[in-house]
Amino acid sequence: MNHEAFLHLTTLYLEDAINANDLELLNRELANSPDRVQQFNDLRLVTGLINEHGRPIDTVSVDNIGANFSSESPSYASSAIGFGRNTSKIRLSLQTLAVVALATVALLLLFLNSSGIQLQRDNDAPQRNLDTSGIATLEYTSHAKWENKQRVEGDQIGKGKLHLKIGLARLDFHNGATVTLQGPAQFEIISPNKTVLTSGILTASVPDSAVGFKVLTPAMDVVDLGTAFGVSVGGDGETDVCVFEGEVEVSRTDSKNTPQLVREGSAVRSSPKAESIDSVAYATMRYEKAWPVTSGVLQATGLMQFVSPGPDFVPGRIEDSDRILVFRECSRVILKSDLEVDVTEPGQYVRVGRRNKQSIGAGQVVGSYLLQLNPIGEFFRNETDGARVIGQITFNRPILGLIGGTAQLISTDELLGHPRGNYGNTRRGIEPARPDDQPDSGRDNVTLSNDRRTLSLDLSASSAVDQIRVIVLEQTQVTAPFRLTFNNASRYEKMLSEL
Amino acid sequence: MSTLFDVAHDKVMDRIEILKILMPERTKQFSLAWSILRKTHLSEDAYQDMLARVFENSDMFEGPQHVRDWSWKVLRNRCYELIRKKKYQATLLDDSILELVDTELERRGTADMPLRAEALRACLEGLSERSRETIRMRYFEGLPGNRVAEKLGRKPETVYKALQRIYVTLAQCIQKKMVALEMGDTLS
Repeated sequence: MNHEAFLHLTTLYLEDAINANDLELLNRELANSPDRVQQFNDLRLVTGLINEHGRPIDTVSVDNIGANFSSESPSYASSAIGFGRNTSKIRLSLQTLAVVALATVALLLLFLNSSGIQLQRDNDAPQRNLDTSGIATLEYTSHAKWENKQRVEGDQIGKGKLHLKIGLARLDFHNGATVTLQGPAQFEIISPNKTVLTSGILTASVPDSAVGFKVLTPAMDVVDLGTAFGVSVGGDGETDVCVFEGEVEVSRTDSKNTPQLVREGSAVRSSPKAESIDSVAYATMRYEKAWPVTSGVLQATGLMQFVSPGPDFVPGRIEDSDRILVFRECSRVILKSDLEVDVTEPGQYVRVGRRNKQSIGAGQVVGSYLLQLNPIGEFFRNETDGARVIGQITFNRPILGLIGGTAQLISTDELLGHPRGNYGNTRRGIEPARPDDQPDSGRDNVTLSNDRRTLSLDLSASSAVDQIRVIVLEQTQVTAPFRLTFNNASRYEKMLSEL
Repeated sequence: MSTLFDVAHDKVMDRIEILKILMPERTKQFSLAWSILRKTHLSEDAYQDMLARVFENSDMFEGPQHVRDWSWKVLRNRCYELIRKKKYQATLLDDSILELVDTELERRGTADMPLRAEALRACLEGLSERSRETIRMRYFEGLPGNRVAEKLGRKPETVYKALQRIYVTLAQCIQKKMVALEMGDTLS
């Protein structure tokens, strides 16, 4: 059998379209040649890679308010246009979840933890670059490869150019701004408040302490006004700016015209040859790798999915029957009194029917995230071997506590919830144990890792709405007047002295 | 409302450790499941069931290799179980040949898988619009080849030929990019 014929039979086999005679031929060919076995598996692996990594990030079906969305048949056409401005409900397919989320786990864990790569990384680990004139810290990288120079997490980055060939890299500027680069990207730090993106993608979150932070591109100058946004620069210099929270000012490069204001949920585009800056559809797909990292979620894996950035993507406005959605709710909240929570210590937890409250001490500055699974109508109790939803999430800051009870969730909505979230009054939280469930039945397990940064969930898909609020530490002690912000969506211009 | 947690200290990190061991195997294992079930959602079900089984038996493992070996067996069995349960007719190689090819797949290294994934994405962009449409329908709408053919107004045999070309093109392209990367080039 020649090579072409073998590949054809392999394809027919993988497509379940092979007849008995051809199957026999394929059996014989594989039995007689180790090379054929390799070639067979080469194609088989391609199918696995396509399944896991072939789906474009932007294959979410979205429509406008009041419309129903199908979890099937995600449309390339719709994804090319991007998210509708007034999206009220999104449903994502199980396939998407599986393909994208678990794949990401594989990539992260492979890079960080699998022995082969870890060993190589350790052996080849370059010295940390301790540049005392650093403007930013290289806080996190994922599969990052740099042009010319090796860099490691913790490196101090000063003025100069960074060429990220592939992967993600998060830079925490000392003035408070956070920028995540997605390779391939060419980025330059001019000063603590001024950067240049020549090509590639970045997402940025800029607190009040760094308002005025600039990103210059070949087509536009972007000036932050206290916000979160994404910038994408193509090979020809065409630049897209997408504002997730707050607002930015944009102006044509070298133009003396009055800057335009771009508000959250809006996007603009220009190119070096264009004479104007045009509004375009708000589309966040290209930022969905970098944005979670900027938001403090280094990985959301398994069946866990960080929601898209934007004013419409808040609790109560998005449903997903198949995945655990992760919402960033608030940041920089000062606890003025002890906060009662369900869990504060690392360990593996299962549902039980008794209270055992613990608390997070007052005076700490915290942020919160909501993890939500809403599988109503998808599964039935009598599906005893029914699906589970398993996922893992890693934060860049330590987890101080978890809240999993309805009453406690409700009582903390005002302090820690998203200002635009619609949390409703229905039962939430990890559901109570059912009479036929043993405490260690494997259902609704929550594991907080010893380093307090990783949370693993194993939720029963037959549960009602499951929510867990995760409270992370942003600053241990408040030592000076501190301005509070809530996602920039509704800024609380309170000073500590007002509390 | 009693919706709280109890601690089980003796199992701390078990699942995280298991995920660390198994996630690098994920692409290979999904390839195995898909080549048996030929449907993405069924393959994902089988994979998730396998993970759950492994978690349930976390106390019996003697080390990472034990977890890996066991997970492959469980996944394979779960795929066959799904075929039986759903009375799903799937044409499979002889048992002895399946063992041969599955063993080779299982033994393959996983260290370069993240780069292969990156390479695949770049390679997909190089496909024609029609090829990408075929991939989309086959994999992400879950349509079998004959239904893809119907939708495209082509003969099934033409679609199978097209898929063959796509698989081969992608395999070669990924390999080329991996070599280029080793030489210090970028994936783009």
